Amino acid sequence: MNADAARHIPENRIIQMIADGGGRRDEQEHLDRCGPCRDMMAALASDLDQLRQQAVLATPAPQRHFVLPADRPHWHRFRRWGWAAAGTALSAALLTIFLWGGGDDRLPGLPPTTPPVAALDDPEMIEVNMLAENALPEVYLVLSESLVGGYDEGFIDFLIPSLDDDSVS
Amino acid sequence: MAATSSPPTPNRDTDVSQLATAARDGNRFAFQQLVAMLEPRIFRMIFYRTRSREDAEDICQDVFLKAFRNLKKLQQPERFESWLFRIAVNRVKDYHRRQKFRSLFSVLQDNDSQDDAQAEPAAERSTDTMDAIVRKEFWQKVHTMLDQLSKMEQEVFLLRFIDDLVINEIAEVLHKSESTVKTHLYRALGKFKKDAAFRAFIKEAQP
Repeated sequence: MNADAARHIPENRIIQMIADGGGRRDEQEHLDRCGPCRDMMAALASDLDQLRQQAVLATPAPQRHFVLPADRPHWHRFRRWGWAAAGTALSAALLTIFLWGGGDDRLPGLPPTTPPVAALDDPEMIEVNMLAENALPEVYLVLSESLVGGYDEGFIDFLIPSLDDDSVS
Repeated sequence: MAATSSPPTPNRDTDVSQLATAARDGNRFAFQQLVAMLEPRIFRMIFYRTRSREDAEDICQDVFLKAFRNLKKLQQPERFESWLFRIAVNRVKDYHRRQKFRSLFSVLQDNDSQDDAQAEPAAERSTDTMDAIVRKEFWQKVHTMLDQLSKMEQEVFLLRFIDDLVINEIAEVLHKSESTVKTHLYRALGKFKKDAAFRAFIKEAQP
């Protein structure tokens, strides 16, 4: 074993040099002179190179490629919020109709609707009308608080927030 | 910012950094050029980790879409590529989390066989059978080798030696210090060096 061999670059250092992509100047000079160190480093580097190349070869080509989404005009975001506002307004309108019409199936101010004579004569319709008018004894209505009139406005505001309070916009 | 500003001259010397700057300033053509340049690399990077072509395509779409939508936040265009890799790494992590969740409820499917048997048309399948077998064997061996490494060692090893990033780029991608990356990388490379069977396989499979 000559003096040069005694100063071979340690295996760990070879690993570090490969990982770092190079070594110190004195180490590079040693590699130029020392066959065993050079071979060890070249063998490991070559295996890693092979691994990379084979990984590329073992990868199928993509069949779909990225397509940039169409350029959206500036008003697009307003249109999006417009849809949200329209949806909210529609929900509010439906809820209002539901709440307003819920207690009485006739709009205020309109004359009472008269069922057709045939419907009045139909025993099933008579029973339905009786149930509709006297659905439950009053005691149940008290228990279910259905007699308590009015609605919690805060709750309705929570369900249908005003557009002014929309924190997202 | 006008999205229709004049496109940069498409030549090979055009730098990713210049394109990223132009793209950030609203130049869609510049972004398309970036996609053309980097999509194959990002796709491969994702495929190495998912081993499913279809999933890799989906994730790749997500990565570029996310990059496009967040271009304004890109402060250092010269680091666009690392930024893209970081998005991809995070997307792959999400993918594995979802896969793990799904596996709780369904029988685990072999991505390789799924990819080779279902995703490709029958005609291609018959002609590419040998390729598919070789490909599958290769990835199985890689998987076996990587199994000896910790998660972090696997990630730095893949980023350094398969995806071909340098250490400071890996540190940016993983949000770790360079010394941490190096520590894991040295350990991973030491294990790779000792895996004589895998290294022999690599040599035999040499094209």
